[in-house]
Amino acid sequence: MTDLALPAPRRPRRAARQPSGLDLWGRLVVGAGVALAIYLIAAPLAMLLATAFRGPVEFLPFEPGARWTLGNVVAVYTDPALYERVIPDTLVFVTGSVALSFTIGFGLAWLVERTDLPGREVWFTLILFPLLMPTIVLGIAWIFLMAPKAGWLNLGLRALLGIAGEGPINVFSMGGLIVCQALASVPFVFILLTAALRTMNPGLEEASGASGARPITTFRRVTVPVLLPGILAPFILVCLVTLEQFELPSILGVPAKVSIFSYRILYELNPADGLPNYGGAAAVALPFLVLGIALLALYNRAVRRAERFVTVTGKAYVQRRLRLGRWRVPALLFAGAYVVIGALLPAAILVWASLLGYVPPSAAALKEASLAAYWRLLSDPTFWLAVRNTLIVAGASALIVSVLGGLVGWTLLRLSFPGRTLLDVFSFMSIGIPSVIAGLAVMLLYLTVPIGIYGTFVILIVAYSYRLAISTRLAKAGLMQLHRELEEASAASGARWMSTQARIVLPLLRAPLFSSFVLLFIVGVREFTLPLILHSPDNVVLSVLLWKLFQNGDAPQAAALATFILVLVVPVVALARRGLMRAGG
Amino acid sequence: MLKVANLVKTFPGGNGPVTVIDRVSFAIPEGLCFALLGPSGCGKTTTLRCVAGLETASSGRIEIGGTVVSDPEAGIFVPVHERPIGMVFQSYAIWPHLNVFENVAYPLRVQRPRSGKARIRDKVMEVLRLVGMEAAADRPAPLLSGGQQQRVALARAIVREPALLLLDEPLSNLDARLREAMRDELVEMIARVGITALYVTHDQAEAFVLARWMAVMDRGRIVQEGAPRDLYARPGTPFIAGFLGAANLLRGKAERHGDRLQIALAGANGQCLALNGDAGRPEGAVEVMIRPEDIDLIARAPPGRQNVLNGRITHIHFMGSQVECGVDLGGTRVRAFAKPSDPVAEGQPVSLRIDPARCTVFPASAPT
Repeated sequence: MTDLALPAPRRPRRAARQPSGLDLWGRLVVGAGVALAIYLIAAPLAMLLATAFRGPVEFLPFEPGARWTLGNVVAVYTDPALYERVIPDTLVFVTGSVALSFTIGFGLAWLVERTDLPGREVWFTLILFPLLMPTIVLGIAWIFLMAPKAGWLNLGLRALLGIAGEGPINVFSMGGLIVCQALASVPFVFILLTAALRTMNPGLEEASGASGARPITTFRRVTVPVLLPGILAPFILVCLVTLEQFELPSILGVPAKVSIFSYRILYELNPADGLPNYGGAAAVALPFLVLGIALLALYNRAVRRAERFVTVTGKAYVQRRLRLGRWRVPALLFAGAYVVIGALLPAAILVWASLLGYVPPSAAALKEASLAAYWRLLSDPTFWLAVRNTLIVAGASALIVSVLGGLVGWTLLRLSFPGRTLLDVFSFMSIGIPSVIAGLAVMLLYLTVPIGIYGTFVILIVAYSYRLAISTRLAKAGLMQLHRELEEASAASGARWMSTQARIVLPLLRAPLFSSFVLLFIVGVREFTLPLILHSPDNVVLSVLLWKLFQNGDAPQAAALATFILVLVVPVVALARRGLMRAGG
Repeated sequence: MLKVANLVKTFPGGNGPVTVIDRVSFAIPEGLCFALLGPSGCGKTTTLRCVAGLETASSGRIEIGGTVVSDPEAGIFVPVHERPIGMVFQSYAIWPHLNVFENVAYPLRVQRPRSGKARIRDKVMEVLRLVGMEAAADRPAPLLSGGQQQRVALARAIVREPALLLLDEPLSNLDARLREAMRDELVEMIARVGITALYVTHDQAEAFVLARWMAVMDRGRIVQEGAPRDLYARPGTPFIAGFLGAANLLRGKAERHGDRLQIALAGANGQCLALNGDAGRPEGAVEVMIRPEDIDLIARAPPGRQNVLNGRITHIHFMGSQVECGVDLGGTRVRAFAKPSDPVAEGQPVSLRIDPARCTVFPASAPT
């Protein structure tokens, strides 16, 4: 023992080192990853904010000649159309479709999780099926079915009811839009609610039964109040996601003159006359961006509250199931009706139309079936370009985001540094950014920064890569399962930071990173809004090509392409699920 | 081998920094097994993690094998992977994606310069033989029992022949029955390897069995250091006395009578103890510590015999190998042990024969 003159404890002179063995390479990798993650979200948003205050419209936001101005903001917010059309329409659309999708989704989730509905496993898979179908594909299928003049459901109904003219169903209306959006959102709601139902402690209901309450009383007085906090968070999330919708509002809403904010942004960029109004689009976007982030903050609070609520622990219970008895048939019909309208009929109609075009379904027509539409599609070089772009962009962005999400998740859980909370918020923020706004922001950024990626598929990779939230969350959840000592044991064995990551962390995080990749790949293949906004002849992707074919009136070829997209996505998911099961052990 | 001098660790807290290690100094000579014992939150694990390099000290110096590995004042910090240590973690931290062989081979595989395959194989098998796991070399890690995990963790910690072995409460994850068996096994294996070891635990029995030298920590400081037997017999404070084992603390008033110390016990109907009046023994208000096993329970003796206290049994807890008796001396309660065969009963008057040489006297910590 040396130096017995005891110095008073004092703060170290240098900043405390990270005890996680973060050496030079570790710092470089973590630093670069976090910086890139922040850049991908913050840089476009900063440009969006600046652009809202740049004008006039004849110039690009930062071209010589453009200057700071309040003109855009004033023009947008003094426009009566905003208050008379955009805000009310958006509100009606969001309220209506969220209410409907929640009703259907809760009904299905409750039937599958809490009753003795026959074939629950099968229903679970069937109800989730529409999640795989890109919304744009579903939208086109529903137009085939419910267009006022030539929609096949309408043809059938008119023949059945003996009425002439148009209708009775009109998909191109606020009502049609709400119903279609609700149908498209149901699988998402269903996933969130089954999770909430599964984590409810059945002892609470049993206690109510043991206290002498009838099942219906138990449901009303115990089940619903206990579930409410757990349902609040999914509810807010669904509101947020619906607010961000672009696909259906633009393909169903525009013909019906329904003006949702997301389409309003596109309209500013492609006005009927004149130049694209970048400043105006940015000015429209700002309040909705704020609203999105606010909803996200609310969602986070609701999640935390639900976590505090004693009954909703992370644990899944074996649920006591209600006997349906004579309600079994209506329940089956309800679930069946959703699956038919939401997934099976659209898929069938697309296959049919790809073979026969607009010919209404009948046995006689089958003789006319031809594969011509497919041959035309396969011989079109644009199709192959779109296939290539879709795979590259979805694959590359899924890879980038999974890696960055993994790094950010590791940083958040394993390091302590000032600004950690800020990074946490940041990593989560991408959910609150509507994709139409993300697309606009990326467009503005790379119009201004001359690095030559505008109009190429690279800009799509960059744009898609803002969705950090999913991969960060999955990586964090995976890392929380990993005892910190597993990494420390590696360092204490003499391994450098990079070796520890490569030999211990990555292999053990294989499952969450893989599922993050698959999820993001599917999101990438489904993506329509971003590539539409950033569209150029060179970076066309399948979803945009589909929309163009459909708009050009080439129904059979559009249907053939839609079928192709389904054939592309479904096996990927099936394979991934099997791989995931194996990796998850 | 290991020298820790004036180690301080503070964490930033809500109301200013919190000091979790306060000027801790100790040294471990080559080949010795040293235990750091203390209640949870006393800073013992943080001390170990500072030695390992998993935690950065705020000040003070740590030297392993003559090399300074941490000295914030001098700007020295050797990262954990460059320190010549092996570590057994509380959770064992056996990597679930590797089998037993690969877990143990890991430290050799990440070593630079690389070792040859054959050399790694030989070395790993040698160490696995040492811990009795050579037959399980190909077993996947998730299939190991708690005891086997401990053996693999130890094998992994010693495979690269570190200068210093660190053990962080390695037995606390095992159930009580297994813990004893693994403790004995661990003593034997550490002795066989002959390695310098720093062992952190909150269980005094573990420390007694494993360590040849130990230090007791409380609230960030080392409060006493010594050989296990000495510490048990001569604890420096009532806290240490109680932490190391069951202890009776009797309040009283001490007066010196020539070479004897006469202690009038409080709440004992005026009964006294007569101890050696060794220099340095406190006078006035004192606390006398006597361990239950140093008290003989005998049949009621006539009053007035030296160092025999009369009382009445108030409760009996049958514990298997012995019977714990609570004896009331007249307000003060004393614990003593009887054999299961002894005819003791509640309410029975008894006498306690106290060995004066086994008593420790502390100045009273607080007024009665």
